[in-house]
Amino acid sequence: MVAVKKYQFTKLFWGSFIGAYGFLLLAIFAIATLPDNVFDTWDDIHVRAATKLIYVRFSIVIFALLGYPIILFTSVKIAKSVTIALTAWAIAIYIDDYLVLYQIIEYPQRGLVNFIQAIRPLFLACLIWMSFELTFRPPEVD
Amino acid sequence: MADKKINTTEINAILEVFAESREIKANIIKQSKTFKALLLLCNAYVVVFLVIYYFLNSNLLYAVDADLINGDFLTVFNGRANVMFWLFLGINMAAYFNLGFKVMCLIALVFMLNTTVDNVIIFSELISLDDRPYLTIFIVSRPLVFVALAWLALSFKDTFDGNER
Repeated sequence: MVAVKKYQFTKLFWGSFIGAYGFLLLAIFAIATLPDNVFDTWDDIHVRAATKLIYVRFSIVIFALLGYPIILFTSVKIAKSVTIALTAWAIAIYIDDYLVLYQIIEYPQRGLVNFIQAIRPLFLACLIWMSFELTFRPPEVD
Repeated sequence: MADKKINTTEINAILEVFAESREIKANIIKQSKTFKALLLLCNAYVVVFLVIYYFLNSNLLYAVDADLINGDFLTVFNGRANVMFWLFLGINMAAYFNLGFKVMCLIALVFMLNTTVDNVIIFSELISLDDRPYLTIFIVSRPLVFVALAWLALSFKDTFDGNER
């Protein structure tokens, strides 16, 4: 807690933190409540590929969700590197989905999934803001 | 007796006088031979990867498996080649200007790890390494590149004493 107090992060940082957590929890909820008939569509292979990817990605996300607050409240320096790495990963999978894998994967057509896809850039913006603030905000001098 | 201690304003004035000189010196930091060798190795890996992609894409190279040219795999190869090009351009510029090099290496490492995981998940059932000899060498040597990238970031000197700025 002392490590975070020393930096005096802005409300925007904590807003981004809550926004990122909210997005990820919503995405986990969407995956956990995916109906079984989603695989009965004509594009079964592509949906299956996307789902396989999502399950692997979300196992990493759950570790990050649980571990990140501990790192942030223990060492801001390590939190900086972890945040940059997680932001790079989030951007990499976003680029991968739209630039590289767009012919191979297809997300299930469902209202909640479409909503999550639509607000994905906001989630990336939250992570980028957190990375910048952790990198450029100097600690408060006593 | 006069106070001989200099105050903060005077220290700042002295630092300001030598600021230009320090900036010039910062640009001529000598990197270790290991760093140079690793940077060359990583660049060579990416360049060979891009050359093979452009050769395959232009039908200048014999593809053992015809699906390689026609299938979804080439789309993925195309996307990866583009991202790799811009990423390594960024790494080289960061090394040259001594600005954000470690961050660029971290981003490249995360991107490459992600692509490897994606490839394993999506293509592991569809692709036999024997059918794609040009690509097999990249898939097999990828862990070495991960190590090289991490080592590259760690061996980079961004200040004279080797400490992070």
